[in-house]
Amino acid sequence: MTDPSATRIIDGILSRPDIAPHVAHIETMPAADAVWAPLPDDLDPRLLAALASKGYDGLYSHQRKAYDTVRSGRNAVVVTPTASGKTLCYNLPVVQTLLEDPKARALYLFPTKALSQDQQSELNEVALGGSLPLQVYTYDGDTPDSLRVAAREGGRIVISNPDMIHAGVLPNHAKWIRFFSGLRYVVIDEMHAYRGVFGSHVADVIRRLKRVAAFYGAKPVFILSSATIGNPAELASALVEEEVSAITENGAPRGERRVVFYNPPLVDPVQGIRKSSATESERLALALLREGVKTILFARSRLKVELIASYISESLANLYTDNSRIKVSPYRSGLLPSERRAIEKGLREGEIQGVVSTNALELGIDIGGLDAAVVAGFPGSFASFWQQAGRAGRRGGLSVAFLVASSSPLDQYIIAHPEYFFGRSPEQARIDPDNPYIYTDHVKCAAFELPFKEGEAFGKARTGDEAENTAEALGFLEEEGIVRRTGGRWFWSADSYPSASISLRSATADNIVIVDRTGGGSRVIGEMDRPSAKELIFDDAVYIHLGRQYIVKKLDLENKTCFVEEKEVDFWTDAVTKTDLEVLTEDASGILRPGPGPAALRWVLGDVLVRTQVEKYKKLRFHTHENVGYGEVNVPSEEMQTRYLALVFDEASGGGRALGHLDEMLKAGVLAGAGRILHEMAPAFLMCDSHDLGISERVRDPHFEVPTLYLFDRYPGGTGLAEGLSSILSSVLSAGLERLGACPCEGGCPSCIGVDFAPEGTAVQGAESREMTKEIKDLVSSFLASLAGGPDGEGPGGAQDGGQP
Amino acid sequence: MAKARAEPRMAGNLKSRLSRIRANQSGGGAQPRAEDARLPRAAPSFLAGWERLDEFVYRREIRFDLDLPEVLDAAPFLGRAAALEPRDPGASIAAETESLRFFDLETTGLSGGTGTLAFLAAIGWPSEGGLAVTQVFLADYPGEPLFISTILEALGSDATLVTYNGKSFDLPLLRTRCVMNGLAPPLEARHLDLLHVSRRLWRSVHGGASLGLLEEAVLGKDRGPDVPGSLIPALWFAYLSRGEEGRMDLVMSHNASDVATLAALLAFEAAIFASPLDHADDGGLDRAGLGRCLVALGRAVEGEALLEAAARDGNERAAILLSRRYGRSGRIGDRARIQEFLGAGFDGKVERAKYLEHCEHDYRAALSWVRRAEEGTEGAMRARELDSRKERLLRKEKLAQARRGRE
Repeated sequence: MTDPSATRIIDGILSRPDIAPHVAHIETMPAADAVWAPLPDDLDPRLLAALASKGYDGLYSHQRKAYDTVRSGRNAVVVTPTASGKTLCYNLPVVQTLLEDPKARALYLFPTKALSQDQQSELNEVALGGSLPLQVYTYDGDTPDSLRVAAREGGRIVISNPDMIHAGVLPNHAKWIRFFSGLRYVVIDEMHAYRGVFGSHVADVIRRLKRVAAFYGAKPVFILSSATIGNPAELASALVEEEVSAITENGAPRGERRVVFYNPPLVDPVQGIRKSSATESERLALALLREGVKTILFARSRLKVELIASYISESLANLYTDNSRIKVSPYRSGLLPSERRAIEKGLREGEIQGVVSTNALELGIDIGGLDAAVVAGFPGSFASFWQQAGRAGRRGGLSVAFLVASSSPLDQYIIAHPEYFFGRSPEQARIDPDNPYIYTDHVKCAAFELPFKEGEAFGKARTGDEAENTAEALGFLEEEGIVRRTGGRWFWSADSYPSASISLRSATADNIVIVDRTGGGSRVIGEMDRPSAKELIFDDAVYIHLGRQYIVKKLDLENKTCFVEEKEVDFWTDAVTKTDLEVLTEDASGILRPGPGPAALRWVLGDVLVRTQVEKYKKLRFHTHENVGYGEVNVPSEEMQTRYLALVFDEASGGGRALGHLDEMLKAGVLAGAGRILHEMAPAFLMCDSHDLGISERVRDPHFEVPTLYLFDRYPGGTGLAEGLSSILSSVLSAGLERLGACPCEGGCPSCIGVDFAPEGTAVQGAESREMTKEIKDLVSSFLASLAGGPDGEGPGGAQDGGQP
Repeated sequence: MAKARAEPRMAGNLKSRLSRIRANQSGGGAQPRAEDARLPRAAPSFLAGWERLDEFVYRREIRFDLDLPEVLDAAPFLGRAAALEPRDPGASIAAETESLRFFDLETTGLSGGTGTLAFLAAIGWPSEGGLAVTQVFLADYPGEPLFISTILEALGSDATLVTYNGKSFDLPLLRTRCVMNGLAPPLEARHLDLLHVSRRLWRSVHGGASLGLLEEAVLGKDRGPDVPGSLIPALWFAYLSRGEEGRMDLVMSHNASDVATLAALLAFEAAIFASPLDHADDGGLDRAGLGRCLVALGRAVEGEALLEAAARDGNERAAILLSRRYGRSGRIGDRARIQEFLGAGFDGKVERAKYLEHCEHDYRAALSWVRRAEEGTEGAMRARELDSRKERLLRKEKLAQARRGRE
């Protein structure tokens, strides 16, 4: 039952005059009772005893369903919220099987190291609490050599991460004979973390894992768990390339929860500037802490975490002169493990009442229940938001989660559309294991692990003939002289260890190292991938790192180094880049038809060559963003092949007609404004950051010969984003239109289409430029209406003609 | 769960995407495809005199002169495995030399992992007063199962292996190749790995302990024309992909010479361990290293004598080691004797402080050595460790003062 005093406190805070007016929405999610299921009949008595000693005499319905699915040999993905007992979903069938069969083994994969250590302590409890004879080992980069042999030989459950499997285990699989021969289960926790580049790589690592397991005669069952996303079964089967049953009904009990949408007040309605989400979050957290509500605040950067935590502590110190009654800690990556453990313990045991965290605490680390979560700015995905919000909530009590919106178009859209937020999660997580670069990298690693047989296929082909794809990649590697085709097989034939130079996480292997030369020293302060370096740390650029300003003295691309010196300046630099696109293929296309009548637009998917040239840079003054000069940039252009989705506005289409009567400058402005808002809205439907996508508009496209808007994947070869976008296009268009209609600004602001539309080198300035932006805002509105079916039109889910290759 | 939404046919065709990227990148240093890579070639000249076992595997037998005792003490070379052999502390472990198999592999790289394989092996054993060596050569990948089983056969099942770094390199690699080819890996045999002892005996003197270096510096042999080990993988790949014979003949002789050197080195080192004190004055030997080996073997009297001699000659490490050793076993008089040789390094100063604290109970003097240890970079790095020592000494000194006051 809900504690009436907690309700009174929360109601009190929400009705305060400095808070109430900015509350945009309160969603109350009622408490729910547990749905129970009996323990399975076939449990080993030792396991039963271990469960009984922990007080289990039944299971939640989803735990039982997971057990039955997995034990019948089927793959499963369990999709349930934080604190719903998801670990038992995989521990129970795994431990039971391991007790039945002394040769059986299981592999647990977690996306990060910290998590696997937590997992081990919990598992040790399962295994040792009832004195189950199962050896559990963590095997990662921190495992001392002395334990590695024991883990390989005796580990019944081995806990690791994909990077370690990729670079440590698979290339040495012959040392793991016992493990692979007995491999019955692979558990993949936090599945939603495997998306984009990382997910695409991991899918290929799983192909290699299955290939090696098959060599030893094993075919493991996969058990995945995921936070709520739009397509869990689809992502799971894309990762493991097998059928996966999704278990989505949560049988765990939950207390009442309120989710509060808080929109910081407008400071400048004309320009659409709002108070910062960080300071408003700090204010809310303070209000909660002062009422004795245990609170966690999530901020997006390490720096913000430190700042907010110290501000909160300062404010509290003023309030309580003894200063020891409320304790608030920052929690972020970069802390020592012992420091982290101390904070986690303090939270669990109640010595610490408040914590300010980056998403480091988002993943399942146990800190016990809190009463309130304050999320400063939409964390980029719904899955993240719900994991952060899930930090608040204890069985039987009331909890509250605040989403404090930033000024970004996405945040502003979400805060105005609670129905969309609380409906079924619309986000699709996408991967593309057949990205030709990623695919070839892993064919390389796989050839190192086991020779390829003639006609053998690596993975299941999404397109074409899988064995032919594999042979093509191997032919490529043969030309490079690193595999040798002989006697009907392809053998690894080089003096190197390929996985060592392939990172699962970063975009490119050749990073630029940033070296601080201030005062004649030489200190590495960061790294940046080459394409970004060309746009961000060119000679004379201002580089901001951990709140300090540096001037780039020399970007040395050849030696992959960039020398910087610390210097206080009152401006920052912004590169002006020119993007050339060359369409290489048209692989699929479709027509978007919002209602009866003519098509709104045609979309085309394919490969594109993107050539980016940084031409010069602007100096912009802090705060005012006033342009105070230009500078030259001399870096070679960057080229990559990737995937695009083109929105083609043929003359007779709705979009084409909406643009038809405009002059060139306005056409360009409308395309740019529409592009910007679509670009910003896409992450609401596709799990990615907006900077994973590039955008480019063409008033008269040389390839399609009509106005065209390109969205392309920023990762060479693509990670499934262009394909994903094509299937959710109408939703993105509608969302963009709605955002624009709801934006209170007079004529363009950072929360909608942006502010700067005056073409370079024109005399359009000041008031004239603002007039033009205002006009463009209206024009973008009617343009999007022509695409999405009008403000009162059909909305999301407009008819979409199927693609034709 | 809702069915995945129907998706547009996507991604073009991976094959065509790959070939386009490939076309884009070629010209950038791609090697021409080896012509007729798959055809058997006529046996190259460097295989003259080799027996052809099948299309891809060759074998030959050669002999070296070598003088080995009939029985030698294996204990110094067994490392931790010596503990598994039943014997009295310090006693020797007899090994019949005729059961020894000297073993060395040439491989496609040092990075390990399942993609690294061996293509040449030498197995030597004492025979008719000399050393017989069987070499097995793999001319292309498909021959690997026969190549490996030929090696296993030559090694035999109950022999004592002798290698140089074989415990962490050659043997694990051989086991991996067995697994990869579906063969039963060799059982764990008695294994004398000379690397660890050799490092202790020679590294500080010769600035390294590679087999080639010791062959020249310790055994005084001149191998004549040779190839550096680091080039060997590339030479085999060049032969494999382009048929270049290059210096493959030298690769073959390098491999055979390595096992011959291994055998000679074993004989040399075994003689040193048989009567260590007779060798103490060999200029080319690290006496302290030998002393440590002996101490570890349980031959304390000889070991300590060598360590003390080294300490007296200014080897501070030896003095520190001895002082700690005497301290552990409560030999206060021996410990006192060694103090003057501890030297001016960080560890020496700390050791003096320990001695003064625990043996002399002179806390004030001990404190002054801790303070001296704080000077210098190592002292700064290990300040925390010194701090707790200092605290304890201050406490003890205060107690001692109080006691003195009462008395």
